[in-house]
Amino acid sequence: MAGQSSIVPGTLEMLVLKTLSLAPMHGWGIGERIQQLSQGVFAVNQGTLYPALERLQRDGLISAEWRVTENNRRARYYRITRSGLRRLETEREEWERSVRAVDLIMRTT
Amino acid sequence: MSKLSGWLYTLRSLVRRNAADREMADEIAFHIERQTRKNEVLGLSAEDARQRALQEFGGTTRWREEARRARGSTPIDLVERDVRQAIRGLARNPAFAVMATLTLALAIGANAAMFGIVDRLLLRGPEHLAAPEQVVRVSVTRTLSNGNVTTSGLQPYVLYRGVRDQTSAFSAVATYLPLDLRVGVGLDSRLVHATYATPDLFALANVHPALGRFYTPEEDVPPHGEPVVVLGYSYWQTDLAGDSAIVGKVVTLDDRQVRVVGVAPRGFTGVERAPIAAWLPMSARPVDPRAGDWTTSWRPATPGVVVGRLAVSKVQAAAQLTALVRREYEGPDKAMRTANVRVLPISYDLEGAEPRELGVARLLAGVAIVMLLVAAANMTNLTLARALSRRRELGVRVALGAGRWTLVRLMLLETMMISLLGGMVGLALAHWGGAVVREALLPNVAWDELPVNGRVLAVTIAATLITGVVVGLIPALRVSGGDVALALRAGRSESAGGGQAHGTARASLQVVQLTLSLVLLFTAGLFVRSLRDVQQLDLGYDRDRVLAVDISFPRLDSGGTSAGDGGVMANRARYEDLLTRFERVPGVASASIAFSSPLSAVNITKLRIPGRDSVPSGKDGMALLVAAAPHYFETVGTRILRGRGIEISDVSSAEPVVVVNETMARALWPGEDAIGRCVVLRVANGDACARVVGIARDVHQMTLKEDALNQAYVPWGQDRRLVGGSVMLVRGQSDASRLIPPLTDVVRRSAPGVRSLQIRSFEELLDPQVRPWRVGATVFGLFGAIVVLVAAIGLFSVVSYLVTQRTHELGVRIALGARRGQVLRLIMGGALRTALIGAALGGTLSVAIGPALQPLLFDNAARDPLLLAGVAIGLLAVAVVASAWPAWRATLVDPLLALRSD
Repeated sequence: MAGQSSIVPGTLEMLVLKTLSLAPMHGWGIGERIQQLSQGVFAVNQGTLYPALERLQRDGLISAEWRVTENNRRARYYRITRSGLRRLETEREEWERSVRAVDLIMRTT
Repeated sequence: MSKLSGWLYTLRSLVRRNAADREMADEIAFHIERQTRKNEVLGLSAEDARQRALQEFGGTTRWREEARRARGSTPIDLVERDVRQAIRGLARNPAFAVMATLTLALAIGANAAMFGIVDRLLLRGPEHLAAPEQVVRVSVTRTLSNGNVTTSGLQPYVLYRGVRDQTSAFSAVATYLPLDLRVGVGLDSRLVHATYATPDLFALANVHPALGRFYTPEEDVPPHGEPVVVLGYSYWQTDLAGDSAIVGKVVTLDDRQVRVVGVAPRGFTGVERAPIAAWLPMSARPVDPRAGDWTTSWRPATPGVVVGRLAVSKVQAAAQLTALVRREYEGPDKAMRTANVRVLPISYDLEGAEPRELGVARLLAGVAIVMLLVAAANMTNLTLARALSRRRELGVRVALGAGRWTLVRLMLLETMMISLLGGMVGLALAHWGGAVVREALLPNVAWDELPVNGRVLAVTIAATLITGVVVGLIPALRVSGGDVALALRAGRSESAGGGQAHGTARASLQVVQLTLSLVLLFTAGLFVRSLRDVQQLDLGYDRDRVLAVDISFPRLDSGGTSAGDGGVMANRARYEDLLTRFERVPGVASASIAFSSPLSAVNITKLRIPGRDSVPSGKDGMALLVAAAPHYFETVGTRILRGRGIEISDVSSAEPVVVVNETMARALWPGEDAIGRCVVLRVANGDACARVVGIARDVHQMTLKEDALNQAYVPWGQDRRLVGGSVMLVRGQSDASRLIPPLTDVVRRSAPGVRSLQIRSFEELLDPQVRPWRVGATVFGLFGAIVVLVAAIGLFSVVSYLVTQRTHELGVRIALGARRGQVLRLIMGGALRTALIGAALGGTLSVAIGPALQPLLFDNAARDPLLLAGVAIGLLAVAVVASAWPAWRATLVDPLLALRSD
């Protein structure tokens, strides 16, 4: 699709945490939401999403449970944990610092 | 914290790996479904929408795999992969796997079984006995006036009391007397092991009763203790069905009513190892009132074992006790004034020596370890040979990127799997084999219920793991150490030629195996010889054809004149009546009666010869006395050398006659004819002189190893003291044991009041004495055969391997005209050299360990050159056969095929 690009490397987990901080969501929904929130700029490589979810789970940043969707279909819903929220905060600060630094470098003439 | 929870998460997903995989599949399926629907909404056909969704996902399997890795299950997958690979590797060469597993299983099984036995006998001490190494047995050694040293393990009660009250050597001291008691009544009664013990034995062991209480010091006050009993746990369980209301009930032991006060804890055997059915107060045992006060006498009729828990060092304890005995002894024995007291381990027997069975058990345990070494050496060799032949495979693996560690891990895993398998099979072998061995070796020990207990299991697992690691690591490091890439480039023949160092390692391992095989075979041979000597030993009587019928009649109601002749006649009549009935049983060749016969009892009399002033001193002045009924000699199979045996006329006639043995004839009338001479036997005839009517062969009265003693046979039935307690002897026409049921029937029908009856063959009575050698011969023979088999298999497979490795070279040689004999020599030369070195070393070692084996053997010498030579030749023959087979195949190599093969 034109106008779409892959997400910035290394930011997928932060984006997932951000998405989940808004509302619990299943895997497919997370991908869709990232795409929506980026106003169609970022397309999540769908397969990479699941290993990322496993890693986040292992690190205790998110938790998962099976629930029934509005369409009466069983799906695994993920929810951000307390330590996930803390992580999101530090990642956001880190990100903003990096972005400012990159911006500074790029503005230098 | 988060690290920990991460681990927990991984662990959980490992445990429920399949469930996690399934959930992942469900989740991805849900994802594809939603994406498909979205694509449909965007206007694609159902089919295309799904295709597109899958495409966008980018390969479900791949991402599932990625997700699984993220979950953290990698290590177990790797192990699984390695194990699969190892199984595949082993399956490619099943002969190797089976052989290695079997040899290892036999060795590990032998070790597990022997450890279980040695653990019980030597390491752990009796069950429930806390700190058994502190508990010692008191032994008194006297030096007699003639210079002989005698050791006594049984002590008078007065010594026990002295030790208890007058020394500080022990923190607890007890005395006890093991005795067999009869339970039940009549023909159905049987003997059980019982022990009369002072109650401080329980305190010394520090045990608590399973039920009720132990008897108290107040119930054990000499001279007459209370009729109370503490039952042994297993006796209570089996004979009394574990009756929980047993305390307070009355049981009958040896026709006496005793009250049960408690039940001993499970497996409690005091300081000995035999299972005990009943514990009774020391002072409750039956004592002969004529023997004097047993509590103050230094020479009581029934002394006991004195044991104590050391409060001071062994040396100090021995010194204190020695001083006590020398100071307190009252009596005529001057040797007691210079007696020495020793404190010995409780495992020692009453003669103050380690029992032969313990020596055999320890030796067998050593041999089991040797077996494990041989099996491990063999497996190392096989693994090494296999590893070398796999160098190209390993080379390929290295070329494909496997590191050295990966190769080592792979090979280690293979040997580990073999040794674990071997360990499991070995434990199974130990489970039933161990039970057989311990019953055969030491039936009279309170064993644990299962031959394989926790300790045995732990030791076996440790041995298995160590074996697996050592056996796998040596070849793995050797093989992976070399330049494997070189091996890949090299052809088949070169990779074999490059293993010079490996060849040396192989050869030395083989030498070790053959050396140990020879030593084992030689030891087995010695034991077989001992056993054969014991079985062929001429004891002076027949052991396989004669039954000893031990019978106990009810007391006679003789109206207070039991000492009179009427009583004797009535008692005699009972035996004689039974004798005539026995003689009529089909299959009975002859029957007789005797008071004290071989293996039943010893009865001693003093001797005097009228007209000679000097009474013969020492054992020449004594004789074993047997009162024998007519047909006695033909029944037991003792030959009369001169004169005649005891005849019917002797019993009725008043003239005292006697049959003496060769030794007595020689000792009393050296160089003269004893027949017609006259000797006074104090016990039998008082002061009357007995005329010698015959000379009989010497007989071993009680043991296999004993010096010939004077033996005198007088007519049975003349002396009342030599009637009650007689043994009836029955000689069968063939196998005597078949006569036991009909004889029992005869007693049941014709003597209903009999208090007890035991019919055993002389063979059976001798069995406990023959057992150590039989077990030694059997187990050593078995171990020896296994070890030789293992060594032969090792030789065979290594030579086979060499032949395979040198196929190319052999092909060249044969093509160039080498003869069959030359090829054979070439292949077998190395193997035979190894065998010769092994035989030489083994021979040297066998000679060196001879002195250590000597005490375990029957009279034969441990240095037996003929046996050694025979064993060595046998082993060399095995080596020749094991190497000749593959070598012969080598001569059949087709040179064309061999040359093309690489």
